[in-house]
Order: sequence, then structure tokens, then C-alpha cells
Amino acid sequence: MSTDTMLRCALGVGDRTLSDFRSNGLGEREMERLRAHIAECPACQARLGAFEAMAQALRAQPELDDHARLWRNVRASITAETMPASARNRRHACVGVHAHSTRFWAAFGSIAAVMALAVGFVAVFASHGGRPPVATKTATPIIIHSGSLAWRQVAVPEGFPSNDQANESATNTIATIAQGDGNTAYACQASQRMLPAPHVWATHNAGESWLVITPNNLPANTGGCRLWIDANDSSVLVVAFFPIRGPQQPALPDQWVNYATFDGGVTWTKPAGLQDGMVTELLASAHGKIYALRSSTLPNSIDRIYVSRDHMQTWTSIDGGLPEVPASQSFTQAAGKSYWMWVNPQSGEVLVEIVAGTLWTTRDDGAQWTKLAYSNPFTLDNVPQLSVAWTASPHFTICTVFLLGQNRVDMRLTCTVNDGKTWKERPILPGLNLDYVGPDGSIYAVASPPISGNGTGDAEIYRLPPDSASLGDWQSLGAIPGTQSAYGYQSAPAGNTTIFWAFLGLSTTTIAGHTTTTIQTNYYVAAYP
Amino acid sequence: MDAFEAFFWRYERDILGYLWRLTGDEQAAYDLSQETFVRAWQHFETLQQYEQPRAWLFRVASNLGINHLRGRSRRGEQTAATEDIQNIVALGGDPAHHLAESDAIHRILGGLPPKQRAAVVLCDVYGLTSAEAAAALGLSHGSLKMSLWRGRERFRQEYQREGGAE
Repeated sequence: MSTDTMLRCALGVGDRTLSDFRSNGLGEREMERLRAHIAECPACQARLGAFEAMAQALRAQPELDDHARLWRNVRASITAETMPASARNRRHACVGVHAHSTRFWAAFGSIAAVMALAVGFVAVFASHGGRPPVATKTATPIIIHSGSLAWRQVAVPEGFPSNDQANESATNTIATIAQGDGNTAYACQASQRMLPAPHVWATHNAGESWLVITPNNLPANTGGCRLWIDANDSSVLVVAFFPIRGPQQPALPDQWVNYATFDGGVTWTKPAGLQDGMVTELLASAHGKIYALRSSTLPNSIDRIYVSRDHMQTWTSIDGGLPEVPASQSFTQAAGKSYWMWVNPQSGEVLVEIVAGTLWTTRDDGAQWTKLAYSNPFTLDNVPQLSVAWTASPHFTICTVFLLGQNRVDMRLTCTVNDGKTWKERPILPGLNLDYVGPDGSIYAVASPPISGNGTGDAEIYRLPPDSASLGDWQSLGAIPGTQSAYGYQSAPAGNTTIFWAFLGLSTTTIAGHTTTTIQTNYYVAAYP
Repeated sequence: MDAFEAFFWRYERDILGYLWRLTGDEQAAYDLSQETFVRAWQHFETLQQYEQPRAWLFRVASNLGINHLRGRSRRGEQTAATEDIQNIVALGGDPAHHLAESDAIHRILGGLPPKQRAAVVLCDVYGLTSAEAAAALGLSHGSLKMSLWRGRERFRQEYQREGGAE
């Protein structure tokens, strides 16, 4: 049945949302709301049925069945690899079990060869102790100049429950780093099973030590907490405390009690403007005002941008001049206005990426919004990667990566420092994901898996120095510890330095009739330069 | 080797089937599956500690499969047709119908951009959540959801055009 001819959902729930629902890709609150709605909505049930029919057709596809052949070849390969090198080379020459790999590396090599010509340098594939097993072909001719990040494990707050696999408190088991100050981070935990009482911690020295800064007189039924740090002023923090309705299910925001501090947790208030059932997504202050991206708990609500001039007691919307985008034209697949926001701490300029993918700026708190011109056209399913420096200068440094070409494998990195009047092209290595623009204009990117490796391994950080124009100027800063099993990674400026944080969640398995998995939180920090 | 062999037999059907659907090329599916498990052998000590080694395998297989498709695209090759049907396990019922249906699905799947194809197969055949599929493909969650929806929508339209799911 075509979904075009199906019943219409009374609430207007679209196929994109149902696609997300089907793959558990919505927030828990939204999942729960939709689950209840779908149970009562024949139109949504029919659309989900169409998705399932398609999946069944895919699953019913005949399978390849020469499993024994695959095992024979795998076994031959790994047997060859464990032989002494001299014998291994002979065996490869004779048996040729890796003929496929030659084809694979040849394909990779053809891409790399083009790169090498463009860059104008050639390197020899570095053999990693004989791996991959048929490194008989010269390939991957890209030299990544090696820098180094010295990662050190830093303290987790004393009493911080590192094991919260059930996530019963709906609280992240990692710290949140101030976007404008990589030395400052906050963490909160309110799991009643893990802690006798909720706690909020702060560090101002990149995890060397932590302080307890918990507000007094918290509600007795608190089971979870969330926190938001002002992007421009790391001493401004909002923490929401709330009851828990079930695993990972916080109470609705109208039951949240929000505390704010403007001095890094020395003193706390409960601003009236935060106790209104709104969820604060992002805070950024400038010129004595605090800007916030906030969403409401009401059905069909949209994200709004507000400013407060009285320490969050009252808020005024400033997004009246921004277009409201229907879900069909939104890359977030939800109707709304704003997707992300930056506030320049020096000029007070507010920059907003809206859900249609375009950038808008205002310097008069929304009296007039100006649309920025991108360097390339884009489509809804190919919105550019975007990175904006949080540094103090009259204009934002905005960098974008567009994916071009038939299969979108050709990348174009452009940056502007004049609100999009002109864009300057910068070199970008294939496979990099734009991460961060540093205080000095350096561009940082991450590749997972590393582009210089064999397709596996921890993610790597790469840096392009300011004003570099050559692909050969990209340098590797090395791997991020344990990112194959990590919760996450974040970078932020600290003066003229960039601080990198990695949050490592190690899984351990105990075999004694049972398999027990625990997640242990560890923090690692590095600084560059 | 015994532990690794058990590991291989536990996961090889998923990986072979995934790469078969992703590449549409029987030989490439075998070859890239072999490469995936050789890499698993190289990291087996670490891999045994992982809570979800299947996610690691899907990640490696995705990288290999998508690189293979990119290489093929740059060389101007087309998606391979389902030619060598003798080696395909026929399902019950009318074999001719199944083969025609299978060929159509293969063709439709092969017409999707690689990442959309991978997203659809990972989520709809192997039951990964969108977050797990995003990790396997090295995409942000938002990008994955968009790829997944686009892939599903395009597959649905083409499938209906071919007369499926009526």
C-alpha cells in the first residue's frame, strides 16, 4: 500500500518521524509520546506497517551460503599471518588467498594516488608489523605529519558513580565541558541508588581536582539532573533536578526545579523564569544579557530563542523575524525555527542555524535578522558540517564543509570571518569531520577510523594551522584514547591553548556462569599546544 | 583459534549477508567479509572484552564496503547484477518468483547512495538502532537518521514501482 493513499494522521505525524521512531532514534520523551499516540492512530500504524513490509522484503533476500569457503579463507589468512615473515611472504606468493585485498588496496590506492598527485608528495605505505597481512602493494600515499597530544588520565569527582549503566537517573555519566573554557567542567548525579543525595561538582583545572557545589535544600524526590553551562561565561550554570518515572524517564519539565549560579556554584538561585516547564537547550551570555535556546513541553512546540536582562527572572523572545520552517523543509525533521545558536561575547552578535540549514545573524536582539550566504548550495539531506569559533573577535569565524559529487565523497572546506560576505577555501583531507575552530584560527577535525590507518582503530584528531593552504599542512595529533568504546570527546579553548577531553566508558565482562557488563567512567585530558 | 572459530561462526552470517546487500557483488561480499574477520583476528584480544563485538564488526565491514563502493564508483563500474544464482539459497515457494523479486530488491538497493543503503540494511535487516548504525557508519546521529529516512523512502517508492508490497 502506498503511504500516499493512507489515512492521514490527525496529529500530522510524518513519515520521517515514524522512521526515527522505528529505529529508536527519538528522545525518550518523544518515543513515549509517540508510542501512546500510535496505539490509537490507524494512520500511523499503517505507515509503520509499510516500513515493516519493506524490511521483510529485505530480510527475505536469499543469502550467500558458502560459509565453509569463507572460513577456509579466513583461517588460511590468519594462519599465514602468524607464520614467520619469511614463510608468510612465500605463502602469500603461493596461495594467493588475499587476491581480494589486492583489489581493495588497489581501489584505495587509486583514490590515494589522485590525492598524492594533487598534494605533490608521495609516501610509502607504512607496514604495521606486517599488517594488513598483504602489505605487498604500495598504497595510501598520504603523509600525515605527526604531532602529539599527551593524554593524561584525570580525576573523576570523588563519589561520582562511574557505573550507571542502567542510566536510571537519566543523568549523563560524563562531565560537561564549558565551551568557552576547556579547563572548566561540571558534573551532576542524582541517582538515588548510587548516591545518598544529589551532587553537583566543578573543576576549574581540567580535572586535576573537583569541588562539590551542590545547591542546598533540593527537593526530596530528586532522582535525576541535567546541566547547562553558559557557552561564553563558564561561571554561569543551570542545573535541573527532577523526579524519575522509570528507567531513563525524567518527569516532564513542569516538575523540574531549576537552579542557576552566576559565580561558579558559590551561590545559587531559583530564577522565576526557569520554573515554567521550558527546557533550556543552550545558554550564552554577552554584554550583561543571557541568551537561551529553549523548547516547551507543550505539544507541537518549537524551539525559541530568548534573551534575559535580569538574571533569568524574565525572558523575551527575539526570534519573531526568523522563518518558521515546516517539518518537510527541516533537516531535523521537526517543524521549528532554530537549531543552534552562537553569541559573540565581544560584539553581542547572535548567530543562529535554523532547521532549514541556513544561517541568520542579528546585532540588535532580533529587530533585524540577516541571512548569511553560504559558499555552496546545499540540499536538505546534505546540510554542511558547521563549526563556529567561540572566540572573542568582532566577527565569528565560521567554517563549513560541503560534501559534493555524485556520492558526496568530495569535500570542500570554506571559512568566513565577515558574516559570509566572502568565503575562503581551505584544504581538507577526505574522511575528516570538522570538529572545532581554535582560538588562533586553527581548524581541528576528527576521523574515525583514522585516515592514515587500515580502516580500524581509535579516532584521530587532526589540525590545520591558521592560514595554511596546502593539504600537506594537515597534521595528526594522534588518537583519542579508547574512542572505539568511549562515550565521547570534546574540545574547548583555554586562553591560547585548546583542551581536549575524552570520556572513556570501559566495558568489562566477568565470565562465571553469567556475563556482567559494567561501564566505568574515566576522563582523559590533553592540551595543545 | 578455537575461541576465534566460535566467534567467527557466531557472526559470519550477519557480516557476509550485510556485505552482500551493501555491495551487491557476491565476490566482493566474500572478500570483504574475509578482510573483516582477518582484522577481527588481529584485534581479537581486545574484541573479546567488548560488550558488543557485533557493532565493531559492522563498523569495520561498513568501512570496507563503502570504500569498495567508492572505488568502484570512481572506476565507473556499475553495481553487479545478480548473476551467479546457483550459489544463492533459494527460498521456499516458487523459485522463479523469489529470484525475480530478489533481483528487483537487489537492483533497488543498489540504486541507493552507499550510506543510505548501509543505513537501511543495518537498521531494517540487522535491527540496529539509529544510534548504533550512526556509530557503525561514522555519521552523526542526525545525519544517519536523514540517510535512513531518505533510503527508506526511496526504496519504498522504487519497490512499489516494481510492483512489490502491494
